[in-house]
Amino acid sequence: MSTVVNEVRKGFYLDSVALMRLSAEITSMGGIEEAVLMIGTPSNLQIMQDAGVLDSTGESASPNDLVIALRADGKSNANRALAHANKSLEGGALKSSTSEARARTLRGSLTAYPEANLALISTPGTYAAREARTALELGLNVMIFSDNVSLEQESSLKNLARQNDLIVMGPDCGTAYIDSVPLAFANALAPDGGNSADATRTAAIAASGTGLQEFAVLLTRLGGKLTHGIGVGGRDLSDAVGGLSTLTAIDLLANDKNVDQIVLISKPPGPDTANLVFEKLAACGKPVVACVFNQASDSEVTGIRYASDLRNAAELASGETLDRHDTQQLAQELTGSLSASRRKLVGLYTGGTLCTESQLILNRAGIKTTSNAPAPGSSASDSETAHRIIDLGADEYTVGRPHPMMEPLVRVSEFEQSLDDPSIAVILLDVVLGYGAHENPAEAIVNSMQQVTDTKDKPVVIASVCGTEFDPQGLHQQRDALTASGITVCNCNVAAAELAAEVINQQS
Amino acid sequence: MIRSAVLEYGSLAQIVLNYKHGNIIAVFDNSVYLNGGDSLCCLGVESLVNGPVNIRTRLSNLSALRVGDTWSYTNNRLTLGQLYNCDNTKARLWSLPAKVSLSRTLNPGPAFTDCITLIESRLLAEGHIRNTLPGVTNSLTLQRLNYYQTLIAKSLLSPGETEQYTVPSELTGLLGCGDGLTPAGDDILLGVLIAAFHFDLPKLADCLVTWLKQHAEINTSQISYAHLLAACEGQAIEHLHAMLNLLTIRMNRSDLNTEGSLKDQTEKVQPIKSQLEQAIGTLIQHGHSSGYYTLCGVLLVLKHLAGTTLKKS
Repeated sequence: MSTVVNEVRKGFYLDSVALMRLSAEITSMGGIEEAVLMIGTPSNLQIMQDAGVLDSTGESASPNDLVIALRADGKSNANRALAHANKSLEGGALKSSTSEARARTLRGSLTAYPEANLALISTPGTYAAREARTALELGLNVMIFSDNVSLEQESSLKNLARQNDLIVMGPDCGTAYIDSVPLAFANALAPDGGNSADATRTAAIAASGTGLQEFAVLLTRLGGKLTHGIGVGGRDLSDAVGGLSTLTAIDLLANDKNVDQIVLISKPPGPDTANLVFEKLAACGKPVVACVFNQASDSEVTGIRYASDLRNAAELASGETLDRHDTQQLAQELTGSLSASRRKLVGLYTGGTLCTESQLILNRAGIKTTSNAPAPGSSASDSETAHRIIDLGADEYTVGRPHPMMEPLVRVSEFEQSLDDPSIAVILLDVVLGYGAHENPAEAIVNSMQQVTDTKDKPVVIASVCGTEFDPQGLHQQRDALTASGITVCNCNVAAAELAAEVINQQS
Repeated sequence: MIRSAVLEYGSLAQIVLNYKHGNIIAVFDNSVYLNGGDSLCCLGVESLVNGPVNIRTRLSNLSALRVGDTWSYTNNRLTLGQLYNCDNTKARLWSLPAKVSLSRTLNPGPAFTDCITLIESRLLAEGHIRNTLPGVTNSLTLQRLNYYQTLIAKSLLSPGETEQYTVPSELTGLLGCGDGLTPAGDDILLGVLIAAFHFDLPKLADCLVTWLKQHAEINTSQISYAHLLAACEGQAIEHLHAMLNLLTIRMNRSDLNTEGSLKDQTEKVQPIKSQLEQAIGTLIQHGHSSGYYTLCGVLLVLKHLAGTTLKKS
């Protein structure tokens, strides 16, 4: 039996398109015979009356009211449709779906979102500095995702920011966390930065990308909580820039009551900048952990705890220790099937900092490496006999191609060549998960593994996965897929590099 | 608070600002309606069309404002809901484009027919897209709109020899008839009224103005009423005035009819025709169907004008 239900919304205006779309949506619902959403003018009320959808509630409407009038097969269908209409009208769904704000300029964006205090700049590098300056002049903090910003521009922007109590993150800042919100390439940490409310709240200052990601992942895996991760860009601590953003970050974090301790992750700073930064860190009034790759011990500053690598930094910050495997024994198991002629190592990295960290660990283990992005102690020369650690995210691999974190196929040809190379003993890989990364980075690696025909004599493949269970790709799914294909998966990049070093040393 | 600037405002919007403060009564993504005393104006983003009740600003999105938020206007600064502060010092008062009048020596014929055909074909094409064609669906609203347009043509616009225009009482059913902020019926009436002003039909205009002032307030929404009141002053959005001017230019150039030489066709007729087509298209695109129905109103007057002029000649 037909039921008529009306609702009147006093003084409610909605544009015609939204009204008609909602009207059509409701009419298409099951059990709805007729649905009309109109302003309650006498003429429209007459139309509703003639259409048999008006009841006494609707009759009371004025020309400035919206009338929702329904005729349905049964009361429950009518109520369901009415609930749908109300939800659409109240939830703003109609508004946002008609024309979501798409500002074309920073100024326009700020007008649309006046509460915003940060601009993320991701334009071609040529235009990034100009946009960043505009953002700073509008009073916004800036994260420059773009690269190819000159040193002079970087320095000028950071000076402008510091004069105005703002911060510039980047250029080439691929990762950041602000108030535990991941920006750009970042892993999804547990809600609210991870773990329990009483966990020590850590803020990290890092160059730009996978170093911060690996630290954030390991810290939260160890029960720590990351409140902020500020990417200052790879050149910030050079003497040319003078650590301007790092200094601002220290000021901000020192005064942030939601930060209990500060972690600095970086390459060795320029000598002048090092003094400024470490003195400021030591005097900031909060515990500080510094993970400065290849830092000479005689330059360490009292009051700062120094970490040798990212795992160590996470352990110092959390007070917990990451599980260790018996590297020696595991290496023995892995070398058992390797022919004696296999002596070389190749590392195929998508993350720049992870690539650097591996070189340092291998060098520490007495293994000389070459790299297209050489860390201190490594060589740039690419000799046939050397152990090679390749940063596949470097410009020479990414010009005109997507970054390997986004497109794992970029690594495939190098990986398959290495699998076929009878001199290679170990292939070392990183697999980076998180927002912005490929939806299934393990897949391409697994496919390559499955194509190896000689299953008895093949290189050992060792990988680490930088990710969390909250990441869109899922940590355990990626780990399981790699393990099932015969890859040894370690719980962090340090552990993977240490295991690779042990395998090479046992083969020598 | 975001600082921005007012670019242009209409004369009736200025009256609202003169009240110094009021409330926001409706919020859309790109515009809001402000009340001041009994008057309303529409404040919007840069792409908002100029018009008598409109205020164009450099703001790009207004959806952060809420119905009931207050506005104030002091020292040439317009503050909206404590979110936006718009400087009005460099703003321009919008004025109607200079009117192009119909030539007294008008030679009716192909030019009139050409314009009517052009508008009808555009309405037909758009009607299929917008589902606004009477008879296309069984919608009671469309049937009603069709009925009232016929009533306007046969009654209001058929004054007989005395040229005494009379609004049939039944036409109040067209006020507030249809969806949206400015119901289709109001848009049709607005088109008729502005065309009456434009084509110098003062008796028709006077009669409609008197009738609208008596009946519109209680029969339609306050937002639509604000636009109708502006129309009673002979003012509407600039797209409409621009289109009417181009229409008049085309009709005044009756020498440039479709039977002209190939040279004339190429050099003289086509540029005017294409400008006119563009202006019609711009008007039709205004709102969801506001521009469309306004053009329907203009067409009614144009046909009336063609009929009377042809009869006289």
